[in-house]
Amino acid sequence: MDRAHDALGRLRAIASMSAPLMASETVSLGGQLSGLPALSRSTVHEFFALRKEDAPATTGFVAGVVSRAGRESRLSLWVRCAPLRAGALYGAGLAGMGINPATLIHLPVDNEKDALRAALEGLRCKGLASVVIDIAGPAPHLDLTATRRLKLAAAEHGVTTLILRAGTDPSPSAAQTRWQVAPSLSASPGLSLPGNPAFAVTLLKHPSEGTGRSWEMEWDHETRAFAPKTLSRPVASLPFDRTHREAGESLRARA
Amino acid sequence: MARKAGLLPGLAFADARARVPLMRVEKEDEAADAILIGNLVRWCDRYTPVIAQDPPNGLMLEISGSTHLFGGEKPLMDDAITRLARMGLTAFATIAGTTRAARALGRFRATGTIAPPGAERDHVASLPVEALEADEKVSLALRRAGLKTIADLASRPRKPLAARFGEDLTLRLAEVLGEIDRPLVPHRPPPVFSAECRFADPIGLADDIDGALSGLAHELCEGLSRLDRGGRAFEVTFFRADGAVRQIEVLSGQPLRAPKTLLRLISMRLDALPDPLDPGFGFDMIRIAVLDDDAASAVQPGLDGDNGHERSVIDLIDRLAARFGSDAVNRFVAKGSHLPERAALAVPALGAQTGSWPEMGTKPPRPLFLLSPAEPIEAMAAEVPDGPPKRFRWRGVLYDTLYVEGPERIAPEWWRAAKDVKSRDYFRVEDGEGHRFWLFRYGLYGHEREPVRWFMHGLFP
Repeated sequence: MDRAHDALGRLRAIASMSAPLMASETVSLGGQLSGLPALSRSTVHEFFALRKEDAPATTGFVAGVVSRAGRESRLSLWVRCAPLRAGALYGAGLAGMGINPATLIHLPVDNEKDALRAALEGLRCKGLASVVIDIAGPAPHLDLTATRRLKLAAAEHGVTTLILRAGTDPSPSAAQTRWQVAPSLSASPGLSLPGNPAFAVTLLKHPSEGTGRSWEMEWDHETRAFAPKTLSRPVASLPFDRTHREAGESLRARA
Repeated sequence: MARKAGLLPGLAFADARARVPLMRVEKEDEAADAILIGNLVRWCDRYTPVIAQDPPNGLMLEISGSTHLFGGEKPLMDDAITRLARMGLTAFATIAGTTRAARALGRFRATGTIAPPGAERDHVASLPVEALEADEKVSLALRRAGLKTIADLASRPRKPLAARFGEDLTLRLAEVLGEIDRPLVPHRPPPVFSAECRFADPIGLADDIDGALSGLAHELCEGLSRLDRGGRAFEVTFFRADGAVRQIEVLSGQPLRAPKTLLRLISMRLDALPDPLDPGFGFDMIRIAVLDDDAASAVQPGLDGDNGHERSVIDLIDRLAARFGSDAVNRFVAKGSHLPERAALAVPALGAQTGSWPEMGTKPPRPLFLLSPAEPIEAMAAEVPDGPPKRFRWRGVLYDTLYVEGPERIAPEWWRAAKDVKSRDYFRVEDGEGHRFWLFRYGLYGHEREPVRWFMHGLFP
């Protein structure tokens, strides 16, 4: 009986620990997306691109998360371990995902061990908003132990840690949440123009939410937030030779 | 040895062979000599930071400030000669008040001469006129005139000498006699501050080395803070007992004078060395020098909350730069250029200021990844000659374009003398799966002689 009581007490303690976090302790990806859980700060989140070709989309999504997680002009660290042919991060493109590129410390490294070392070094610095560990291809050293270490360091210094893996399958890790990001056909504003960056995001792991759900979302640069992908619909071109009213009348006459 | 056997510098090879038939002959290796002299210059750093090479095979050390460390001029000279002898090098050393006098004594007198300032005249008097190292013709002419030693020249009025043999000779004479001093040009600027530690018994254990470094860092930082300065570039020099010298450099973004931070940077730098520090038989001296410093006023931490965060990020950049090299840690900087490869630069973050980035406004979007160099693609089935391809092949994969935006024409910067002189028409295209690319056509149709080509330049999210 005593043991049962103890267990109950322990469970209550755990429940109180995972009580709803305050808004400042989480990063909301966008208010309009129903059911999309916010990411808590000071812990580790993983983002996967299953195929190498999906790496730009996943990187773009993580860039969006970094810009959402940024606060009070604090700097972020982006440690990147990727082959040259994957392309180099481009400042103006990061600006397109809401990041002020001047607030980013970019560190390309040769191997994943160096990437982990640099990331741990960054996590020990309480002045950073977030740390991105961007490793392309398989990373055997980024295992349960390494991610656990990252998680502890992130919790201690309050730095949001984002692990970005391109072209690999998820492996066991201590990350709090895990997401799979793939490119999605953008919502064209018509005239077969490409629209905003669009993503198909699947939640693979979450401590409290149901997993397996997916969202189709796009990056809205105006509000600097993720939003539901707008449906593709043709937009009437503006008349250039008459006023709006005339144009409307002529349309009605035709009908 | 060689001299005793009758071999003198400048002897013809056949004569030498005739005097010593069993002589072993080695070819002169200038490159190896240069490396040896270079190593010796670094090794001599243990005596003084002001060192200059004295060609062809001499070193000039300015020791006025460091004799007290060895207990005088003579002990310092003896120390150098014995240490060099232990390395297998025979050295001749002299000490004089001026560089030219020291050189003349070193080359034409027995080793160990010490000419105190003002007494050069007495010491060089008996040297031959060749010690002036004037032109061969001049030396020959002097000898023919019966002027064999420097004393002969020194006793004569200078003006007729200058008229007969040239201004150069009297200048040299004055320098050798110690009347004029030619300043020594050190092989590198002497450090601003330095702290050093000599060990009677060479140390090799990691703990001992850490302890020594810690003591030195505290001593150095105390000196810096006394003068309200902070170091931006540090150099740690390890002198190994067998003569090998290892130098490592540590850079800091902000003027630094906190011993803890300095030690952390040094240990990270030591960890990152491609070939680790090898103590061998131990180090007999370690020195930390400040090569570059800056004013740093004392800061009171804790009053301004933000200050602590900024400070911690600056320290982080220093640590990362010490570990991964100062070129690896980047910041993005916007440049006023239309060419995408010039518009956003990655500059070393060490010491860079946090800038602002121009607002995007209505500018066309830019890719997240830039391929450098742009990769050629095979474009097929363009609807109109000027339009984008309906289908293209990149890295062996075919893509069908569904959505297209463009062209955005970017002309070359004519004010740069560059090889690429053609305009580029950029298109943002999207395939059926949502992959978005940045393509450009290099050159305009009907405008260039060669056929136009298509390239992949970037990837959008």
